[in-house]
Amino acid sequence: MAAALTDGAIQVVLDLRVYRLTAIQKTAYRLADRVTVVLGVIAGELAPGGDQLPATLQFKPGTSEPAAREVARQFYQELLDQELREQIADQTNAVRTLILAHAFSNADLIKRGDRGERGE
Amino acid sequence: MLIKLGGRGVRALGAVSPRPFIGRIATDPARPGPTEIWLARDAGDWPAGFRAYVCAAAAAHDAAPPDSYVLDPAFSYLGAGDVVRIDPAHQAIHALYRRHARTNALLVTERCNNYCVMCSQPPKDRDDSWLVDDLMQAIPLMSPETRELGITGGEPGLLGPRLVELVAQLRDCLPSTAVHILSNGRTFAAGDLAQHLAGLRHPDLMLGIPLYADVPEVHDYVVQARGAFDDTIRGILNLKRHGVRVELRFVIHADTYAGLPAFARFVARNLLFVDHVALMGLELMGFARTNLEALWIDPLDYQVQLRAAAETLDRAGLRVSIYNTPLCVLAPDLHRFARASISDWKNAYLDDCDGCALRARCGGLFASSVLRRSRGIARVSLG
Amino acid sequence: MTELHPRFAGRAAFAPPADYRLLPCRFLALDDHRVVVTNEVGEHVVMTRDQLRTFAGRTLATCEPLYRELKAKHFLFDDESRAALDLLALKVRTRRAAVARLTGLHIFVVTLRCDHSCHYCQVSRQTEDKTRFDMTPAHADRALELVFASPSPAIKIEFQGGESLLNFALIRHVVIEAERRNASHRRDLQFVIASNLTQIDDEILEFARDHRIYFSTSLDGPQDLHDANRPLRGASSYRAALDGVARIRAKLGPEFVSALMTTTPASLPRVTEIIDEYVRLGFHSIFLRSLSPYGFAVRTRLVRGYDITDWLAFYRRGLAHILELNRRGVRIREELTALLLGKMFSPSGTAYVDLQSPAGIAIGALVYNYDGKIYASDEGRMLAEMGDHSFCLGSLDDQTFASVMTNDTLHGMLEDSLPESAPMCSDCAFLPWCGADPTFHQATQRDVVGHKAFSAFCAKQMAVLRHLVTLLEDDPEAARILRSWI
Repeated sequence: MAAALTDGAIQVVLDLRVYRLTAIQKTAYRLADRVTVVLGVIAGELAPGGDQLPATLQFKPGTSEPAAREVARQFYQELLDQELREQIADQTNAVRTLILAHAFSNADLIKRGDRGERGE
Repeated sequence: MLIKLGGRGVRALGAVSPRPFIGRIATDPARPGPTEIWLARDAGDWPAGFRAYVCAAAAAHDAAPPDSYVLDPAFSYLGAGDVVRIDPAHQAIHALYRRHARTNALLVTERCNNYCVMCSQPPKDRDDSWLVDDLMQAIPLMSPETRELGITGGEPGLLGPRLVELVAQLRDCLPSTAVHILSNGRTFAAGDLAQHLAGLRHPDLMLGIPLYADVPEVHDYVVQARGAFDDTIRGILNLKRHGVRVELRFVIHADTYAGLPAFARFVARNLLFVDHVALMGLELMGFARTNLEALWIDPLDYQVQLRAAAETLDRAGLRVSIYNTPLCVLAPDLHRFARASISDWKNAYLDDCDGCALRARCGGLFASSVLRRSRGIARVSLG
Repeated sequence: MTELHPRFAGRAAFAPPADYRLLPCRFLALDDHRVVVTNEVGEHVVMTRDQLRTFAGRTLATCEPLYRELKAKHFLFDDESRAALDLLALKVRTRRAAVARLTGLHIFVVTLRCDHSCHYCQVSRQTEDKTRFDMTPAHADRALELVFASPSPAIKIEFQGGESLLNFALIRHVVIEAERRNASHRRDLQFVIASNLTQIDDEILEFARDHRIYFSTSLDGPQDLHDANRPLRGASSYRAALDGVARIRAKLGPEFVSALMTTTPASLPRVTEIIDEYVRLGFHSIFLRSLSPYGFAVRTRLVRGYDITDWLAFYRRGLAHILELNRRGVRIREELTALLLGKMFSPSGTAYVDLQSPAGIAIGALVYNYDGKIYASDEGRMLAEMGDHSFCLGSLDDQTFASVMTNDTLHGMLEDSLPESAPMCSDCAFLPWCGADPTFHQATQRDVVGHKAFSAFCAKQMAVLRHLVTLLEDDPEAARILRSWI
């Protein structure tokens, strides 16, 4: 998992086959009070494309190695949650739209013989 | 006081009508009419102009007019204003309406689209549309001072437009009488039946609709019909959407009691707009007898679940009643929810009830309750 | 269990299909091993992370108690039954219906003058200058036009200050004029006077009794704490408040006076004493508020005098004490907790203006300031005293209710701060129980949305809600007491 703390930063590489980009971005935003996550750039150079996304977890000056490692752990934990959130959203977006549409219309949501209609 | 509402009970004194007929019991000789049935005190007391004559005295009389009958003593409770159906061919009489009963139940069909495991009046699948025909004739004969009428089945919703006609008749003839329809709500789920019923603007109408669980699989099992939960929920929503008052009815037995707290939470969250929730003890009639071993649970053994449900519903601001459970069996903090709910003709008290301090406030038991008796039944003394 | 007669089908015949689909839901870590999952309308289920993966992976067995709970609370559905969708749609509509009944609370700042010099006060002035700091009857009449132009069936008019009773003549005018107008409008009309009660006299009490006016006063705790927070020249603010409370109770009845406390750094170690003081004085409710980041509080750096974590410890200790009092039969509830529980368990949520989505600014409350300016929230007028006029919606001299409610700036703020589209909020499990606080975030981050990772508002909501969910889940006795507060 995470490499050592070097120059106040931990370098990680994220597998885009496991985590989609929106999940990674939302995770970075959520942890902004603890760490700044720089995505796709290593040492000022744009990373090459593909399934691997390099990320730099940049800590505030004076952050200890254990504290940084703890935040890195939280980053991965949050990343898993965020990925699962995206999966749930994918599965439920259509039915959410259906429910909202019905909530603000007077039409009947379900007509008879409509049972086979898929919400996904 | 247990009374017999219908059955073999009239013996003809002479010529009879070929078909059953409906009429109102009368005791005022000055007011005869084609729908009035004279209640004779003595044989031979036959004022002219009545549709028929019934007499408690057994003695035959040569001068008896057509449609004169000797009444079986089991029907001696009949009095002026009661409405009866007489079926001469079967020597049968049926009290459709009793003027002084607290409530009268009008049976409109025995057909049903549910098959509830504890049904007290098991359905019969046959054409019984004559029941409504009879009631359409009977309703104008009922007293406009009647406080409440029940419509029961079977499933009254299966009558469709005829149910609407019936309620219109009630509204027109008995505008100040409360009408309570026992329905499973399914036929109100789709189509315009709910709208038409609401459109009558009956001044005091309520539908009592049973709901047995927070999830379809349990409700559907209890009513033995797949899809019933969805229909019933949509029926309730439809009725309320159109402004018809709805009462939820939950019958407590071995297959439902554990779900009481979850049911209450579900109602408080999803159906807060219903007008009343009745949590009901089991009546040991019909299929409840057939399935007695499987369904019986002593009410003493579900007080925890009953309290949780009543509290949840009460806190949510819903009107809650506990029906069909004698006070001695209920936890004291639940007494405020208890209502005397059992119709007089099937209501009973036990020897233990004599001298009970709670008797005056207690609804007693179903006469059928002798089949299984709660361990909790006991005379309560104050202090 | 004995079987039914053979003519009946067993439970198995009605078992749901193994395949189910998810309904919209959001989750959040509750603690190291559990998550709390909420649906679109704020129903919740607590489960382990493993259970969450099983549920979301659609492999939860239909015989599991968790399956039944998730199904009954509308987190999943299957092809056999679609009633869940109808019910969810209805619940969504019920929760949103409140927005259409806009603006039930109307705050009249009748004067900025005050006889107190409280350290934490956000706006008041110690002056005799009535012309500069009192609202004019003409502005009050204009404000009443806005009040009765709002479609809300229930209207609460609250008088604030300064010390509101220093301009009792205007209060009397507004009450009489509002009642006159209401004879034709027929709203459910209520009046509240927020006051330190130093000015109360028989004339005011009789008027309040005749017009069923409620009082809300400040009570910060025991005398030394209260008087230190609220200096009153030559007298004890605490004594004055207690005396006023007693007179209102005697003349109008106990339900006509409530008290509100402000938490200062000096309050933090003393929460049980503060609560006991409320109980001793016969109050059945206390609102453990955090210090707001407005006015003199910010200017004097008081707000940095303690961190939100200090307040959270204060709140947790306070709630534990209140629950213990309830166990002993003392009737007292904590208002923030009760508000959040209402959000969690009531189908319609609660009307509390600071926790709404869209935000409660203008929709929930309008503020008519002493100078005729209209603000979208009480905090908004305090922010204006600090020089930030973001929440000013113009002046009573030239605005109508319609022009105020269609103000482009207001709509921009409402839209921007909508939690459903705000970063972090949009996938937070607490979204249905939370709300937007654009005034707070404008005050602290100069942005109505705010970055929630840096937001004390967010930190407070998250911690309080996690605490409540945990109590409800793990402490049945506390859960029973908490549910009785709804």
